Amino acid sequence: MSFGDYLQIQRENKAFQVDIAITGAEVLATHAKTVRSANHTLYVQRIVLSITTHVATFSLTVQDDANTPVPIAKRTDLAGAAGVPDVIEWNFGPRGTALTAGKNLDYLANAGGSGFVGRLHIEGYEKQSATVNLGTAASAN
Amino acid sequence: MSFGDYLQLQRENIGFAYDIQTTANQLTTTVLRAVRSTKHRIYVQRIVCSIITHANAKVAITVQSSNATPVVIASHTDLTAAAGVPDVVVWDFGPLGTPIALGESLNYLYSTGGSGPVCRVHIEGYEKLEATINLTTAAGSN
Repeated sequence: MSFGDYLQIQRENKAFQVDIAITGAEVLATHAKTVRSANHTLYVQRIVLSITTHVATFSLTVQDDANTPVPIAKRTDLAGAAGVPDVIEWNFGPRGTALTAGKNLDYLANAGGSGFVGRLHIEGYEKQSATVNLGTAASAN
Repeated sequence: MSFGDYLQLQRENIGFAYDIQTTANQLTTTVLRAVRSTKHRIYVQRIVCSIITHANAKVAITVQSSNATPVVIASHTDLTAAAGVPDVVVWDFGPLGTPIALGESLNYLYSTGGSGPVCRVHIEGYEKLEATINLTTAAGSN
């Protein structure tokens, strides 16, 4: 069986795919994907944000959970009107964009509440990126 | 094992992928990927610029060759967030990618003049040998 680029990389590593309903309520920094261990790195290949109800100035951010989070995508919504997109896609290519090693993938949305409504889809993979100490950390890797 | 178009080219040659977190502070011309030798050529398949914080009229990213007169292959000047202003800009040069000059490195710069946008930039592509190697003088670097 053969796959295209995106799935091939996912099959070679440990794939993930998350779908999240954005309800309009405030979401504080929340794990969309928990990294397998401190020795793994998460790679995000694609983020799709489908907005079904627009509310101006409210935003969604996708970031890692480092002490100083590193954002990889952010969208601030606008009032629904001609030219305002209902879907935003971040396509980071088959290799994907890397988070900080050992960090989880977080998202946060609609600070203050009563924000936009939509569906968030994220897919990618994780791979071991540091040496595993079999004596102390084998079970976590 | 099989690959799609983009990765197939990367696997057949010397693939690369880079992630850059740009800041509001100006970054002058910097080497992203140093070409392997004067006989190699770098091909860029895809550049993705995800804008986290917009800054009007400021350079989000410029990607260019290292020639004395750089050849720019991609540049985006940001705007204030508004209808039609993208949060993500994708340059998809296809699986074969767009080449830069033979033997030149791949450079980038951003936030010219300072107070620029904050972005995540992802760049991937490959490099391949495209000129005859003189084994007696340059084998080690090829």
